[in-house]
Amino acid sequence: MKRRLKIMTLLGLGLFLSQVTMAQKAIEFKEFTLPNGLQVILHQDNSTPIAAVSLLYHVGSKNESTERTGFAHFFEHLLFEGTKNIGRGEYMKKVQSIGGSLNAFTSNDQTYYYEIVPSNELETVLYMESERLLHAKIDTVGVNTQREVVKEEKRMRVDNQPYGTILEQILKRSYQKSPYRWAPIGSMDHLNAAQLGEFIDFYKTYYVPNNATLTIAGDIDYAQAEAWVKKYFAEIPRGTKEIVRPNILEPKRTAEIRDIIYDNIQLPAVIQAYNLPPQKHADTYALSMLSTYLTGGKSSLLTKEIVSKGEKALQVAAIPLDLEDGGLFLLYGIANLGVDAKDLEDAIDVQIENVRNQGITQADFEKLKAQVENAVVTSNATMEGVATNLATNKVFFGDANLVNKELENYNKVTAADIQRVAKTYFTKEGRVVLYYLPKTAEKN
Amino acid sequence: MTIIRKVACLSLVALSLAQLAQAQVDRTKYPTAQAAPVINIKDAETFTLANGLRVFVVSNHKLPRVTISFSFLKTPYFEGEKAGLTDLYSAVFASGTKTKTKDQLDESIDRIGARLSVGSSGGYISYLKKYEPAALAIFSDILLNPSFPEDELKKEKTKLISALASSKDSPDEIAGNVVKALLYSKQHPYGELTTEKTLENITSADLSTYYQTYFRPNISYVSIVGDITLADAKKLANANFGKWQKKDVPSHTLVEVKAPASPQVALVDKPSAVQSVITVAYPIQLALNDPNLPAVSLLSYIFGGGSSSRLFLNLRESKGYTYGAYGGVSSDRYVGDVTASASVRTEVTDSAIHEIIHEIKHIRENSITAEELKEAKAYLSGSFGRSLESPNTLANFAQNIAKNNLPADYYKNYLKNLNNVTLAQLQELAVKYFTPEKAHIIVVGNTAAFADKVARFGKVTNYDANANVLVKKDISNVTITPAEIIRKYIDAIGGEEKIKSFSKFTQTSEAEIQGMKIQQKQSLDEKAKTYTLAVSMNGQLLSEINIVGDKITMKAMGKEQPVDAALKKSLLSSMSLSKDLKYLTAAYKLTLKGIEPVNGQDAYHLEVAHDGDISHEYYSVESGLNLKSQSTTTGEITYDEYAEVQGIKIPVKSTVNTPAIPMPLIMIVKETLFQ
Repeated sequence: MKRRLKIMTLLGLGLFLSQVTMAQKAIEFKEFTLPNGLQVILHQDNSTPIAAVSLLYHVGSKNESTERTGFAHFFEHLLFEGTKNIGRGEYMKKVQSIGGSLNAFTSNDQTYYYEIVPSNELETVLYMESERLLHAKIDTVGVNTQREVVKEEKRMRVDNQPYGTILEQILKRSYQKSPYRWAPIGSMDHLNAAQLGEFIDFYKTYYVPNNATLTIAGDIDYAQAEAWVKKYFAEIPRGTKEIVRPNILEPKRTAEIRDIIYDNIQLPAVIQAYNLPPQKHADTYALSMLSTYLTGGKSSLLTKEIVSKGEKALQVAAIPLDLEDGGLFLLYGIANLGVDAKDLEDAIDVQIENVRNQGITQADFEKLKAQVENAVVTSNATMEGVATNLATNKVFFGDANLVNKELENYNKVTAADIQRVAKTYFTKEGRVVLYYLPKTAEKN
Repeated sequence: MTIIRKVACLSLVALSLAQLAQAQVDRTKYPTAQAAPVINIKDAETFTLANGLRVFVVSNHKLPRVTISFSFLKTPYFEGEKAGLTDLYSAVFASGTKTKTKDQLDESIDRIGARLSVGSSGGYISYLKKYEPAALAIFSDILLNPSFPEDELKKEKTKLISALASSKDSPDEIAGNVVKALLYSKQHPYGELTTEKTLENITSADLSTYYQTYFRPNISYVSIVGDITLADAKKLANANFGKWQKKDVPSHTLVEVKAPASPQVALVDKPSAVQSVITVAYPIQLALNDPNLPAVSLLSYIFGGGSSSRLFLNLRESKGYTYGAYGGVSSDRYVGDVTASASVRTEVTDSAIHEIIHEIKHIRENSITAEELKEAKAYLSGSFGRSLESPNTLANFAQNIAKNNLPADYYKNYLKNLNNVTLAQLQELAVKYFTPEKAHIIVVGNTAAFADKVARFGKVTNYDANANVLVKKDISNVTITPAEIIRKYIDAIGGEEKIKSFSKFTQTSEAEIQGMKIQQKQSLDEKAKTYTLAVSMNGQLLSEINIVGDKITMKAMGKEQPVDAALKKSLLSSMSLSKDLKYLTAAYKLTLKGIEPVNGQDAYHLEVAHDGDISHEYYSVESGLNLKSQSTTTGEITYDEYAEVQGIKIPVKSTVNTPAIPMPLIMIVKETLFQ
């Protein structure tokens, strides 16, 4: 295999370059579903004596009621408070005292918890995660403490942070009907108003085995791991409440929405948001490559033309925010000193028009493939990365094995597809454009 | 072992299948852990090239990629008037070689999907195995033939200046600057602050000199990690780094850094802040090969290293003051530190400081429990084990041993040494390193809300965002009147008689923005009551203002602009060769607000009220000259340099901060004529 590779490179066959090879070993895994609906995925890799354990709950801010935004994220905090058998504040302490690390995050679609522990402590974290699902302690003391903590998180990450409100402001304008219109951090007023009963109800609805996926990756024995999973999770009853799964597709926008936000900043920023299809759509791969083409690497189009050459911006980023029911393609630029927002936006628009009209060159397309290959290989370098990829592919794409087909799927994308998706999704009529300007500019 | 495990679990499976309905799991206690896995630490392989370059190799063929990284062992360098030099050096390093432009380099790196970053303290390239020859060609070209192109330097300067401007709005960044300046002093490489001015001083030649002086193989350590064999690594190192020339590298003596003798409270006002960024910190001496390091890391973890540590449990979990509170004891080759910090909501600023100080005091008081020590040992052992997942860790271990003169088996014995630490050792170290009576307590936030509540923690000093002391002098004994201050100013610039001997004035000045020159030309005729101001860039007229009598027209890019009432009033009131003379008339109300420093000089701060508008003027106590003007319509102007023209002293260099421009504009007067 290696020898062939070398000969072909020597011959300089363009053909070889356009066909990204899968040099990496396939990620083997086992999966099963417990009678109570819990999906389980196991991956064995004995190279380091550690195990990554994750629970993906298919509940995010989009499942919230319009009067109780911020609930899903609030639970991410609440579930560290303790359980019937694990005392208050003990959860984090215990994981760390067995030499593990842990964390969690909440998005519009999901809430994700994970631990990485020495492999001899696997049973302990399985017990703990099962306690969290079966017996979480939801009481006034915990709710009050975490309410204060979440408020501080919002102050730190949103209110006290230059440009910190971008996500909130963009979502609010990009979606009129979809529950994606509010950000996971949600409203502090809603959290203040919520009664204990509402928190308990949310827990009983969404924190049920039939709404969860357990993934274990690392130094494990398949049979032993399966036995422990059954020991601790099988007795957890299936949920009885109806799981609300909004799937409102935002109607296609027909007119551009523009607005100005005055913030405590010095340099103006321009943010454009374009509608994306649901993330399962085949175009997701081409759109991801398009974002690399625009801002991935120093020779990428916008970085080169707008940051390096044009000196219009301090930084630019193209970020596809992939969501289950259709996310947003965000283009974001912070203007260089003395450049006004309009100037920067015009410069971005010129480049976007170029991609739409001219597409991309074959040489740039080959470059994209090499970049994508490195990114895919790197994303599976850690057990935690493998666990996340397996779980995400299972829940949001319906097939954990997509983790092994990622490169194959990227390979199906053609240069023409990149131009096609740029044409299809980068439409002025459907976009939201925000300017972030210094507060001092508001007075004039 | 494996067989027994398997049998045991098969029976368990059978059991759970049979008794699924009434599975009896004892949930009241934690399962017992299995035997701890054996952690094997392989030695990195190592060799030294003829030029002194030390190379460490870790082969790991799990993924088809390789990372090559390098670092240096050198004393930090005080940049002084050229502060920001190493930042710019890092920004420009990969922007050109003797044969390639930045575009060509960027393109060739992305073409193989590699990741590369190089800077003054080291760098790396990470690539897929199949692109190895191309990756090495690019990497060694960048490292051995950098050209530090002038135009790229200029661009990076602009970017850094923009970034400096935008950092003024981030309480975290302000805190970062003030903390390092107070902890290490601005005379130390760790504490010096980069400003627009120091960045302007840096030339491409400075970067080349820095490269020639410090970028040498004899102080460098290179790690090659991943899908590569030792033999290939040797070939690769010789071929690519063999020609790198060795040369002695100078070392520097650093100024001594001391903790304050008593607690010092430093306040930085950020009126728009909704949180206070609190840092309690002081410098210590703790070398990177100190035998107590494993014990100190346990102590540090117990104090504030994680979410099970005392700071976090107290300030977040128990009080809900913050999203996170962390702290610890850090070792360093030159000067280490003890730090505790949290961002808390404004109202609880003083309570949070109280709790942080309490934790520092409490850990000294024989309060560490056997349970805490046990948990800390388990946590740090676990972190150590987890860190081994990355093959880079083994290479880092080998580099640390070499750089810090550690025993060769330091990391092999690390877990054992960690587990041997006793409570008595920790208590002794706690008393040694936790010294609240010597701490800086630094708070960035809306100081008006808590300034009166923090004096109990130590002597309070106010600072600006660049860690300059803001002094409000006592003015109760000052006898000078506002009118006398104005008189003194008029005399200082040449006297009333001299000023009144002229009635016309024309002046040309220049400023630079984004590498482009802006020209400003103004002329005033007091008798004819006319004034014109024209601003052009590269010969093209950008905007102009014409005043005839009380009629004002304003044009921008050839288009007429509306003139709002405030601007009109401000323009008309300054239609005079010395508007300050008018301050002495009854229409103006002058109040002496205090004595404050401007550009390092004490200045009288006068509030000038006229027709509902308020502006502020600052006159030097010593020379009488006007040092600064400030108002909401025109922004802030500091007069940095005066020169005499036809017997009148005029400001020839000014720094203009207006709401319309995010960055200060430096105006240099080119020509002035009085008639």
